[in-house]
Amino acid sequence: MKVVVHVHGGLLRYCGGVSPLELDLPEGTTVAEVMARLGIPSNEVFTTVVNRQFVSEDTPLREGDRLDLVPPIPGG
Amino acid sequence: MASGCFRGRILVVDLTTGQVEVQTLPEHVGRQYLGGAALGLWWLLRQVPAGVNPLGPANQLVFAAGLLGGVPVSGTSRFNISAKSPLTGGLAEAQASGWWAPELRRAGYDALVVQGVAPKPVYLWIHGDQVELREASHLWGLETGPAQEAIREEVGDPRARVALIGPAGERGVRYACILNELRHVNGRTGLGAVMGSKRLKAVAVRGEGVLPLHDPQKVRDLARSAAERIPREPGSFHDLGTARGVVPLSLSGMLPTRNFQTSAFEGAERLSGERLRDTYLVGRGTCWACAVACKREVRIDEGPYQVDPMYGGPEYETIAALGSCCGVDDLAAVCKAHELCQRLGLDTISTGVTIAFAMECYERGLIGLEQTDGLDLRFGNAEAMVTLVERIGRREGFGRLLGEGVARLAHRIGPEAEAFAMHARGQEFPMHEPRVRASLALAFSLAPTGADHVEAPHDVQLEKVTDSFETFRLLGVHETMPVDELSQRKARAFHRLQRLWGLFNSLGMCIFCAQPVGPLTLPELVDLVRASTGWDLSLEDLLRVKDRHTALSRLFNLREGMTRADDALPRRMFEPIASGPREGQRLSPEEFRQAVQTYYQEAGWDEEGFPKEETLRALDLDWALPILAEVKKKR
Repeated sequence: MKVVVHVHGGLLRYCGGVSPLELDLPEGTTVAEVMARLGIPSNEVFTTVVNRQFVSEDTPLREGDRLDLVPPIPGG
Repeated sequence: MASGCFRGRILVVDLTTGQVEVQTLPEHVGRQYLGGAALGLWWLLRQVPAGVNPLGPANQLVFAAGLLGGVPVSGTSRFNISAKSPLTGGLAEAQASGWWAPELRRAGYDALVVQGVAPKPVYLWIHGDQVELREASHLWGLETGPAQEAIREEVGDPRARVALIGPAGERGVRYACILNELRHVNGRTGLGAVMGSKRLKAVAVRGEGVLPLHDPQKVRDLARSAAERIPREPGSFHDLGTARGVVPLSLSGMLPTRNFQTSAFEGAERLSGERLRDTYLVGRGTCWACAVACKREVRIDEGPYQVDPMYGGPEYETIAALGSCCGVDDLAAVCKAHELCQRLGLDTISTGVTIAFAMECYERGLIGLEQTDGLDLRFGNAEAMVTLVERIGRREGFGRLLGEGVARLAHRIGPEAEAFAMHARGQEFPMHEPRVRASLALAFSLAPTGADHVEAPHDVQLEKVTDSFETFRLLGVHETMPVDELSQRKARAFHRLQRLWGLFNSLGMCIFCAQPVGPLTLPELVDLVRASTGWDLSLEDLLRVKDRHTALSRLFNLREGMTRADDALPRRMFEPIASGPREGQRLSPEEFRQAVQTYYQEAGWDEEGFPKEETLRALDLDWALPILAEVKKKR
């Protein structure tokens, strides 16, 4: 299945500054598995969003999903 | 008494008499107040009597470099300006980075105090040992860009560093700002209006020589080490500036939208840092000696909104205030509105929030075309937003009323409007959502200046253990907690973290250059103070400077008639977010009340919010005990 991953802010360093990424993944791949594949540590991700809805990291993705990986934005 | 970079000298200028004098600061004052915000407050509370008209001759402006101002390390150029605020009636404070403070330090001063009112417009020219008051009638009314150019030409030095006001400050807009280099801004609390009331157009400074340091080699080592750890890859502050937050905050349900009715904006991607970089960005500016280089320089040559790069470019707060908060997704219009704020000398946050408030009043039928000078003030009307910025800055038509700020405007319109007047203590909300970032409920309601987002590191960093958690542990915060939890433990954590950013306001350290956001660790910061001054101060010694500031700023506001009833938030914060991923979230009034009481306890205040006598004594603030007695007697 194909999903589009949008990586934001400081997390871009894990994907060479390239976002969005179109990934071809096995059916049922979870958000956590995508993060592991990109080498993004869980503690650096504040919010995981699929199709504009908050989801947990164990959520399986579906064909055509948009996944956003959002770091904490400290403010100031 | 000088010690390393601490010069021990305050320049005091009386504009009424034209008298200029240099006062010597004892070293113990330097050790206890350092510089910046704490030093400014120390001066103000002792020198300005209670109840003065903020726009009258008895108010004073204190420009104070941070203790580290001019020490060549990334992030040390911040300085603080203090006065009594025409916006809140309480303490006015605002910080800016840029190039002005290191120059003041090289000229031999830690601070500049401006008293009185000039009989006619003037500017101040400080160069070497010379201090001149110069005629400025011909500059009065000029926008900031032409005024800066004329001053540099007149003093014959293109590298004179100029802090100045625009027409908004001259005409008394209550949230007028002071700018240096046209793009670094002491934005909040209306300090530009105070400067305008004194008929002071600008302060130009040029120093000579090198700032003395106790251990220059150690300072160089720390500077190099910190600079090497500053990220510059895609997505970093350098790459996208603070605007990198626009889309993540919207996705997380934290982006103030349509006057805080909701917290996600469908147009966020059209306002993003990435879009700004890929369209109008022509350069990345920096502050003195800083390797982060997070500033924006924007240019637009075509279309309805042409923008001059001389005025820099919008930060996150500006993009959200003039963009999503007004329902505007036209990035060119936001860049134009930002440029107008810089030209005219307006705080972009208060400007945007005041326009957003007027838009909601218009949509609810509380005001109509007859009040708005015929402007169709629906959310999303970019053209009306840009037009209003100009009218506010020039105090024309409806803009004259908006220049009074949200609190006064709401009072005039009526109780229905006050429910969604987004201010605390009279100052407009910055672009963060307290119903989701719960520590901001405390920052906005308890900051002595009114709603302020730079009181303490935000609690998004407390959710998970990351590299920055070591900093939190050093400050006494050991446990993670959810971002939207408003509890007694969150209030304790807020107070402990507030000590750090309050310290930064007196050191002159930028929050983006030291932990928990930037590279410099707290032990390195302690080393830097020692290497710069020769003073052997521990981290706890330094944090106690913020404790002094917390106690004294409370006394300042109590003396001006504020009470614990002013530690409050608008009703909207206790109502559900209308839509988006955080739909339904709201603050609990009871949890908020308990958290405020917990903060009082942590700060050493009684249940009424008065600092306790023993708190003042423990902080070596015995000199302030008569002020405490005076304010308690009046209640």
